Order: sequence, then structure tokens, then C-alpha cells
Amino acid sequence: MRTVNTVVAGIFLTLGLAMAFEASKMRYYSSLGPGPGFFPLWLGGALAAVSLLWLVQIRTASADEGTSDLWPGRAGAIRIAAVLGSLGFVSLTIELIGFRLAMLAMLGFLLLTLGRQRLPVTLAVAGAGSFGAHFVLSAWLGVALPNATVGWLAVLGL
Amino acid sequence: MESLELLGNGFAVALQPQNLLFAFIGCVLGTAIGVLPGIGSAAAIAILLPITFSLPPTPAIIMLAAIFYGTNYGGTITSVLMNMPGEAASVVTCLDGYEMAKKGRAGAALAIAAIGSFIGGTVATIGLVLSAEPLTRAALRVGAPEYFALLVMGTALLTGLASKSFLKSLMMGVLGLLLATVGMDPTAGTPRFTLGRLELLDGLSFVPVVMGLFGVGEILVNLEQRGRNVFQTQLGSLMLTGQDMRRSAGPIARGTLVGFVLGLIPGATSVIASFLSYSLETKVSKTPSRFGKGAIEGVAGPETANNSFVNANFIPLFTLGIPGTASVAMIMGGMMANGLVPGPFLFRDHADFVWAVIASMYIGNVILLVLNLPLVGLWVKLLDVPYSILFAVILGFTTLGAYAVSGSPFDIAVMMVFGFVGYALKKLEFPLAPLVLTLILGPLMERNLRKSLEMGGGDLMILFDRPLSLVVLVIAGAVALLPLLRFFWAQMEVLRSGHGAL
Repeated sequence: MRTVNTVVAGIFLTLGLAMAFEASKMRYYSSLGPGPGFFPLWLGGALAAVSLLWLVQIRTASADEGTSDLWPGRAGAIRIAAVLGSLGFVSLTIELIGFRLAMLAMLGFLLLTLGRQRLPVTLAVAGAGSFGAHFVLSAWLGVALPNATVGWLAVLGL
Repeated sequence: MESLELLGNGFAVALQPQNLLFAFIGCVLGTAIGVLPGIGSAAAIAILLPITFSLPPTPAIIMLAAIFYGTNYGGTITSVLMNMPGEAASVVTCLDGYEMAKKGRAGAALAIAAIGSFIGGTVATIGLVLSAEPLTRAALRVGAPEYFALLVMGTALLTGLASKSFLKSLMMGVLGLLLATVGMDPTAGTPRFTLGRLELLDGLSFVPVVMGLFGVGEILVNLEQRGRNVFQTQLGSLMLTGQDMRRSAGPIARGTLVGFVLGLIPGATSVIASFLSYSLETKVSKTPSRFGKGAIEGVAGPETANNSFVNANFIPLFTLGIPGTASVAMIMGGMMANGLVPGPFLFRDHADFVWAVIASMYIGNVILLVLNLPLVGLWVKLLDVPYSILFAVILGFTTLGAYAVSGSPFDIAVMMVFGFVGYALKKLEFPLAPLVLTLILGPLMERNLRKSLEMGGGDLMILFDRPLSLVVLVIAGAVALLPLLRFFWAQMEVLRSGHGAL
């Protein structure tokens, strides 16, 4: 855990320094008062300073603190990657294939693979969450959701 | 007296069928999500926020507030019946509530929890009505330096109380402030940290970020550890005996006070309120050995404190514009999305709105009492829905919500990224509340600091020249410095004893 915490502290330290460096390129003070670089410069410096203090605390602590189950394991990592991947898929395709198909694909994939649901249950839940949700939100609540913009999907009005 | 008149008008608005309906829907949804283990009130609000997007401001915020206190009610049910807290504040209820359930008295435990919550919530709302006017009048007199000092104090209190590691809380607080600087600078309009993306010119959208941190992050943590062990107890009778009532009266009164006082302090959490109330009851009891073995006082006190806290939490939000917890910060986000800026001007410029929301809290507490006593068996049925279906439904909802904020797929990507960040931060035991709070307060802090410096001709001493600002900053400094001094002292001790690695 100490090694992991050291790496995390290093990441925060680098982030703080990088943001302070970027902020230093902006105007610090102007005739109107503090400029756009003022606040982020101080904050970047503060993040770096606090990270450094934490680093000192980690390295000087007599006992290795923290949980032992930090890493998800192979199966856990695959489940996490599947969820993040499906969200990435929707963000990339929602304006191409439309809300209904993107959501149907995401929910179907998650329920079949991670949820291990049978096909009828998957189709019912994914259908309700995509076509059903689209109907309720568009028709009843007036929320604008994207339709497909590519080829025959657009022609079908999906 | 003016407050009572305005409250009367608020009731007239809150009792309109549409507002009543959304208070009811909020209570139902909040209780339903509170019942589900592993989803706290912050995640519940994040997940359900999109429902309010198409609503006018008053019903939208009435619904969000109802979701907030509904989750606190719902969390109790699983604590008592399954020894599994639906949310963190209900952890302490498990100690005696579950023991009561094992003795066949789950119904009595849930009944006293509902009654205590009703009393605590109602009294705190009365406190909100009484304090609103004087606090608002005082708040209107403060200038930019005082407001900046108050924001610093709120942040310092939250970071000081949010986690056992002060440095981790502080890092999260500063990170939130840094993330809040993304986008166009509020004065000169200079783009900052936008990575060349047009979508970031308006800054990081609050809703996808909190949905990622709380909603998606929570799902990732739950999915990583597949499988749950559920043991159900019998509900039993909801009727309380005379002895139950006598034993609960004191804890309910003390719990109301504890919850109310802590609710006024930005940074205190409902977990602290419920634990403090439990600890107080064990101290004042003539038979402390009964605690942990099914003492009804151990349920009545903490549950009352929890709900009193939740309602009192709206006082600093409405009067000063300072959210005390992550959940309230999200409600603040919902208000800002509707063009309403919480703070003293809210009472002046949107009196109809704010008094309607306050009135709806009374109504919400009655709705929750009705929902939780006779219908408790119905809520338990929700636990029959397997998590293997529920997680996908929640993800679908959050995805829809992230997209609906501004109709941009970029926001889904933001939610995905912050989902992973939230998951990692939880695993590394970083508190998320300071990050969310400072993310929403960051622009306010920056604007008021810059305004203060302009007023003082660039001299920071303006913050210390004005008495109120000075006092508040001294308190904030003490809150922030005490843990730092303790840290330095501990490091010195380590180095002196030769254990240090440096």
C-alpha cells in the first residue's frame, strides 16, 4: 500500500505542478485586479504542497496503512473495463446510430455479459431502457434525444 | 411574523397538485433508492437528477429535496431488517435495530425510526423557518471579503471533518477548486485548461462529474465484488408499547437537537449526527448494557438525529449559499441549473420558490411517515430485484442524465472518466465530499476573492481588516491548522524516535 500511495502522491504532485506551470503562462495581475492565472497558480501550488506533505507522511509512517484489497483481480478488472467501455461506446455512437440503438446495445451487452441474464429478460429490460425510455422522455417530457444520422438507420427514423 | 405569512404562501404553492405530486414522487424514489444497499443519498440524487431537467424550478427542487430526505428514511429499512445499511448514516441503526429484528420486533424498530425521523425533520424545518429571516438579513450585509471568508470556513470545516486523513481531504478540496477553474475565466474570458476542447469553455459540467464520481464509481466498486449475502428477518408488528414510547421520548428530543446543531455546520455529516446521538444515549442511559442488544433508544435517537440533520442542512444553503454536504451541493447544482443562485438574494428575489420548498418539507415528512409505516412491506420487496439487473438500469439512467444536461456526448465521456476517478479514489480511501463541494463553490470563491482584491487595491489585508471576515478566517484557520499542527507534531515524534524513513 505504501508504494501505491507514493505513486498516487507523485501523480497529485505532478498534477499540481503542471497546473501551476500552465497557470504561470496566463496573466497573473491586470489593471482590473487579479488575472486569470492568479487563482489556478495558487491552487496548483497548494495541491503540490499538500501532496508533498502526504508523501512525507507516507514515507515516515511506521505502519503500512490502508486496505489490502486494492487491486480488483482479473475478473473484477474485466467487469470494470466492460462498464467503462460500454459508456465509451455510447458516447462515441449516440449521435451516429441514435439514442435507442446505442442504449439498446449498451444495456443488452451489460445484462448478457456482466448480469448473466437470459435473453428474454435482457430484451425486456434493454428494450424498456432504450425504446421505452425514448418514448417516455420524448413524447411525455419533451426531452430531445438524438436519432440515427447514418445510412438506412436514419431512413428508418431510429 | 413575516416568515409565517410567507410560509403560508409557500404552503399554498406546495399544496398545488403538481408540486404535491412531485414531492410524493421524490419521496417514493428516494425511499426506493435508500432501500437499495450501497447507494447513498448523494448517488441517489446524482442518478435521479435528470428526471428534474424538464420540470420548472419549484417542482424540480421540491422533488430533489424529497429524494434527499427519502433516501435517509429508506436507508433505515435494510439496516433493521438485513443488518445492511442502505446508506452510511444508517450504519449505527444496525447495532440495535437488527437486534430488535432478530427478536421479532423489526416492526417496532421501523415504527420508532419513522416517528423519530418525522419529529426530527419537522422540528428542524421549523428551525429553518425561524432562522431564515435573521440569517438572510445578516447575510445581505456581508460584502465580498466576508463571503469569501465564509466560503473558506465551509471548505475548511468539510475538509477537517470529511475523513480520518486531513491531508487526503485537503487534497480533494484543492483538486475540486482546481477543476472548477477549467473553462473561461469569469472576468477576462480567457480559456483555462480546456485542452483545446470547445465543450470545456463553459467549464466541467457539474452533473456528469458527480454522476461519474458517485453513481458510476459506486457501481464499479459493487461490480468488482460480485455476490451478496442476504439474510431476511420477519417484520413483526408495527405497534409500539407504552414502555417503548417512554424510553424513546428522551432520545428523540436529544436526537433532534444534536441533528439540528450539526446540520448548521458545513462539513458535518449525518453519519456524525447519528453516531453522536447514539454515543449520547449510551452516556445518559441508566442501563447502558442494553445497547447493542436491541435497545429501542439506540434506534430512536440516531434516526431522529439523522433526519433532523438532513432538514437543518438546508439552512446554510438557503441563507448563505453554502452547501453543507455533497448531497446538498448537488441540490445546489440543480438550483443553479434552473437559474436560481442559493444565498440571501434567493429569499428576496425568489421568495415564492424558496418558501414553497420549505413548506414542501413539512408535507414531505408527512408523506414519508405514511409511506414508511403502512407500506414498509412493499419497500422490502424491492430487495428482490437482483443487482445483476439493477446495475444496468442505473447505468442507463446515469448515461441518459449525463447526455440530457446539454445534449452533448462529450458529457457521457466526462462521466465515464470521473466514474473511474471516483472508483479509484474510493479504493484509495479519499473522501469525495470535499471535491464535490469545492467544485461547486470554486467559481464563487474565485469571484469573491478577486472582487475583494479589487476592492482592496490588490492588498490581501482587506480580508483581515474587516471584523467579520477576520473572525471567520481565524476560525477557518484554526480548523485547518490544528490537524496540520498535529501532523507536524506526529512527524517530529516519528523522526525523534528514529522510525522515520527520511
